[in-house]
Amino acid sequence: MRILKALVYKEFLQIIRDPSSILTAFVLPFILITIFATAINLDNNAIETGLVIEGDRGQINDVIAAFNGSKFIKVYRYDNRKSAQEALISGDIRALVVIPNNFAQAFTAQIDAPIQIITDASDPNIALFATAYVQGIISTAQKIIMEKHGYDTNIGIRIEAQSWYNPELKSRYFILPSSIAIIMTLIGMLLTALVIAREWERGTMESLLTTKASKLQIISAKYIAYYCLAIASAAFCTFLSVVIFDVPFRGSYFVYFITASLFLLPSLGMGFIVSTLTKNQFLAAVAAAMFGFLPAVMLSGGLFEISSMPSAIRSITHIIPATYFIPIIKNLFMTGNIWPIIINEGSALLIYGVLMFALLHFITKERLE
Amino acid sequence: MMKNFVSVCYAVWALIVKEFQIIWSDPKNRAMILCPPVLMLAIFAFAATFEVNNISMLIYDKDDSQISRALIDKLANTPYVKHIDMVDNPEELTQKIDNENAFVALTIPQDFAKKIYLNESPVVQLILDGRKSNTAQVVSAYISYILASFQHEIDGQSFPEISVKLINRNWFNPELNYQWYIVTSFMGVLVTVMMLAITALSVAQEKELGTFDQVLISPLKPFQILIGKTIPAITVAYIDLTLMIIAGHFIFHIPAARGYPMIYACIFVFLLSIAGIGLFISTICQTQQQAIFGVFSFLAPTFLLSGFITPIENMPIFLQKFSYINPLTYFFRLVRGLFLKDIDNITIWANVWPLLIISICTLSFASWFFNKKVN
Amino acid sequence: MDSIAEIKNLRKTFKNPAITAIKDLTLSLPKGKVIGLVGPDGAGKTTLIRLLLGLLTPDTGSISVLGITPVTQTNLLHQKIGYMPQKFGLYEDLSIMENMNLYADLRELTEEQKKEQFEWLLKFTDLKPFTSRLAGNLSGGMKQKLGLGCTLLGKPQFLLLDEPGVGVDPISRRELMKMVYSLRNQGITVLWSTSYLDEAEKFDSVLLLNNGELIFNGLPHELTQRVAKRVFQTKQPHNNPRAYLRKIMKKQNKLVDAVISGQYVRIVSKDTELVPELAADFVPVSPRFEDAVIDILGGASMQVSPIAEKINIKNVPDTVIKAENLTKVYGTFTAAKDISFNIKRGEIFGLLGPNGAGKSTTFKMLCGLAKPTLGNGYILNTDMIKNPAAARSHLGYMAQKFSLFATLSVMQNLNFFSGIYGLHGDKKEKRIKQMVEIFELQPYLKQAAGNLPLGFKQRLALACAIMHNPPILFLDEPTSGVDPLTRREFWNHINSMVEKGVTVMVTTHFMDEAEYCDRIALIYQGQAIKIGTPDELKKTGETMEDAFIRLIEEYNKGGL
Repeated sequence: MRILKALVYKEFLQIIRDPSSILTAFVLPFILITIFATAINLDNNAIETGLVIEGDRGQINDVIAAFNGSKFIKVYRYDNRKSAQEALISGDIRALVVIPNNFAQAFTAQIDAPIQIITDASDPNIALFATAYVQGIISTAQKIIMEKHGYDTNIGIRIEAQSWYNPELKSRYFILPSSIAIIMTLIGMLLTALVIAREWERGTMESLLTTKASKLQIISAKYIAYYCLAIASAAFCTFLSVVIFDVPFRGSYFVYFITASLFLLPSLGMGFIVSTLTKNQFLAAVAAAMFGFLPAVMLSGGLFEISSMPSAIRSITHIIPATYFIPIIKNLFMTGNIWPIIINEGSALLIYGVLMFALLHFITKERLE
Repeated sequence: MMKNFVSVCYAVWALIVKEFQIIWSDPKNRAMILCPPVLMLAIFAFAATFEVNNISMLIYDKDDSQISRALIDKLANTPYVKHIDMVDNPEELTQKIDNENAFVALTIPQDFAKKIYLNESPVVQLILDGRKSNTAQVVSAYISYILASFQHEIDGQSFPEISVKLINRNWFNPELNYQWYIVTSFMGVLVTVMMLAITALSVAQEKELGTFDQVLISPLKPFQILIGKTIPAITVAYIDLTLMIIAGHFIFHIPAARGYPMIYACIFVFLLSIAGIGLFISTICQTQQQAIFGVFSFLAPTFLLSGFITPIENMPIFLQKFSYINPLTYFFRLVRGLFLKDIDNITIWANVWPLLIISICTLSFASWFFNKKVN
Repeated sequence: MDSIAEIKNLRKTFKNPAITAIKDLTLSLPKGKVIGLVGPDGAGKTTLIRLLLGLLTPDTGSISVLGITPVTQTNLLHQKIGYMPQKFGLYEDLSIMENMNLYADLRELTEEQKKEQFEWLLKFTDLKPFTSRLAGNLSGGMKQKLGLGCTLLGKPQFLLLDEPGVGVDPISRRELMKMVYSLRNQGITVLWSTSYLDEAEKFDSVLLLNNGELIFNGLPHELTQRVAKRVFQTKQPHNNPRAYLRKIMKKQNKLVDAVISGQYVRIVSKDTELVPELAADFVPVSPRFEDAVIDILGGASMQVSPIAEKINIKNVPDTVIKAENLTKVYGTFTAAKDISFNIKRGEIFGLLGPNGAGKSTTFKMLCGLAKPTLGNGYILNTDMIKNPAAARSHLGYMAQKFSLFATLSVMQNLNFFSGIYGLHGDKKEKRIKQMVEIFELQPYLKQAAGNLPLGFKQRLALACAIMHNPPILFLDEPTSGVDPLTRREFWNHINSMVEKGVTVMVTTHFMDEAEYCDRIALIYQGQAIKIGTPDELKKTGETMEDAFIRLIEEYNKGGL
């Protein structure tokens, strides 16, 4: 116990003396949380859309008004199709709506009046949203016109929709909790990727191995010290999210603390393993980016819905610790303590963490061969 | 003078050859350069989608009439809904939404069928899981659409034919193929990681090993040493890019609208700008640890603010300004334009000159700073 | 006599690269002695120490240390021994006190034990005034003392020191020796591996390993006896001792060793009788331990280095290097203050001094790796500040750690270093071929530089430094941690080059190497406290080491 304490104390001193680990633990998360909070916005408001009206606009004022009034698109008017299409190609607008010559005529004649929408599908997400928004705008316009013609548009099934946990559907509310998981994956790997390689490089591992300290104690001490640093970093991220960026937290902080600790276990383990295997800071850093940060962003379900991925990719998402932590952290922020999720995903994290620890213990050598 | 110039060329060439030999001499390095692009493309290309399908839905049918069952049947047969669970009480409904067993719940009121017969408006209640706000928006739109068309069917043609027909064309990617988007974007992201690693981190590593002193002590001028680092990094990036372009062409059938020569030429400017940034980081860092912090402080914001995950126009104005100096933003516009859109030369130039300016600034600053430090 | 360790039929091989480090070793280490472990590089010294510690597992054979089997009872063993690895095993980002506390806790000392032992150790090592200083900011000598202090915690009965003197100045090494002897007097056994043979001379007993085999085990003076009456020195000082050395080296079949010592030449003859031409010039002197080691290892190479034939130095002025009031200030710390000297064509100029005295700073300012705060340096009259690239193009530089690219092959390294100096085409191929021939690198061309034996690494580093035929060579501790045979060979090359007009500036901690220099600048506390020939620095009868220590003590007294 005393040996462990001494080793942990040593790790702490090394952390404090090294400004880059403090920077990595606190400055990098600060930058990232700020970006996630302010820039990453999946609400897709205001898609830049071009509008070309080829005929007489007098008769279709209602339609134009509906476009201008929508908060989902930002309308840019173009005089002719050609210039609008050029703008679409150069990327100035994301979609283009053309109301053709014969629209008003067809409309009055009660034939299907055509409106054309051309999207820039080089970004398919935006193309989809643009189509949906324009569809919505047109049906609003249609309703207004019908009411003007004296029809009762209130007949029909009415939907009373509620969004639970996030009534205003602010994407920030679910992005920030997920981003904490993503950031912790990155920080955990960056902090730990160097520490084992360093002991071998400087010859201090050789000294440690000739004292009473065992392999288990040496590894555990590193886990404990870097766990404390990472959990402090997580607490800092949470503070920023809740206090500065005003995301509600509805669960229990105690459960949060426990599950975040469980999450750090495999994340730190992965970093230590990378460090032991590569013994090279250059490779460890590339590995942290390629196998830590990017998969956490892309595959953990934080930004992209796992259920929408093909099944082969869905099974790959299971090897990312953040995949298990994101449902927990999201619910703790937005719903509360959802025990089935906490217990299921939490135990997966625990098993994962123990496996990583065992693997690390296995690959760490006690002798110099 | 001429002789001197030739010697300098050979000296820089030696630097370049050495860099390749170092990369090639270590199997771990080789793997790190060749595997990630392929692996990542194979996985990420299929992962990143905001498309919504496979939704789990709950229905609390208080009415249990023929009409309500017809509605459920219609919902069950739409492609977005993976399966439907029936619940008998609101508690069960709440619990299942809480536990994320279902994403959306529809409550059909007791008087649903009756009101429809009476030509009144029944009110169905739709509960969405706001924890995934963008999915909720999409699902809400789907369900309204399904309900409207259901109404249409049971009503017969009770409205006059005042209708608007939307003709939808998706340009540049008519089938809305997500892989086209992801593959072109990831070219930029992966290459940025590789380039920064080779420029910034390898200089720091050489500083620690002392081999950098050996190079500094040679008669090479600082900018010549920088060229010796830049060219290998750009070459490795081109190798990675070519792997990804081949995959894009043969597996995902991405068109190359402006032709490959133009694509390769434009990419060069982008690579130059990233090399400049990497070298700039390397000149201000002494140890690898500092360089790693520098690289990630640059990489993560650049990636997140590039417009890849979320459109730049959605960002606050002060962050939109950042995109003016973000090489990835220009790169994304360029590659998508070049591969998918057949953009004209003016548009290309509009995205190339900012990259050129970034390259010139970072490279000359790196060179200046380097110069100052060495002498 | 009691023994502290028993080794029987020990054998140890490694796979990558495939070598047999220890071959069938049987040995008993006496208790209560300071036992020196010497031998050329790759002899198996470090492997033997690690086997004794249980850090390596033997292939066959048995080891017993203090009656304990190291591999199976590792924990028990580690309570009774202390180990100082190369580079001292200290945490550089921890202070002296924190390092000591850590190692005390790792040995589970009680608070009273800690208090008592810290007090004693801090006094013993003279580190008391610096306890809060970070280990990384200590000089090599202080690190060495702290490393020793940390190993002494828990009062081990057996102390193993692996090359504690590498890169450490003579004053600090002498202090360490004193400390170790006082420990021995308290009953501790010490096994000390070293490449400084003047150190080994003072040990109670010496083990000499070569190629994994024990070739001598006994008292140092017994070994020295081998060469009794076979060591001679010139009667008269020579104006050009290098030329004289080259002349007598032609008598290679009669000589075991021949080195320069100031203006004199010192030889070890194969027989007690010198050949007539030499007999007239030489008088017998007392043998040293180093002479005997070189003798038992088969003698130094007496080949005249072929390098001289390939060297062609033209148009070099008389004054090659000029240092004018070089001053370097880091923050509030003055690392070098007002250092001035001129180095003439074909001179070997040595920079000597304790660790942290300003040698490296001076060195770096003159080769353009650091910019002087004040003053300037001139290389072949080229201004170091105004035109650094041109000035540097005249230099060959060999760094302390042989900064080669470890993962690249020998050939790739040669290609690279010839390339960055602008060599190309036939000229480059010819030059590389010359280097390969001179340094006998042919069998290693495809091997990674990092896996070369130390001696070959050093050869390769020198080959890379002189690839572009520079008129000036900068050598920064070029022989640190290198065995005497390899060092002889190295200096053989250097001497040949100098005779052809190459100018050399060198730093070293080996005092015998200081004697090879034409002139020496003794740097202390950032200043050149004495510049002169080795014989001017030494008083009659003094060794170089004595002179070194005396001059610094005199300066300290004067300074007070």
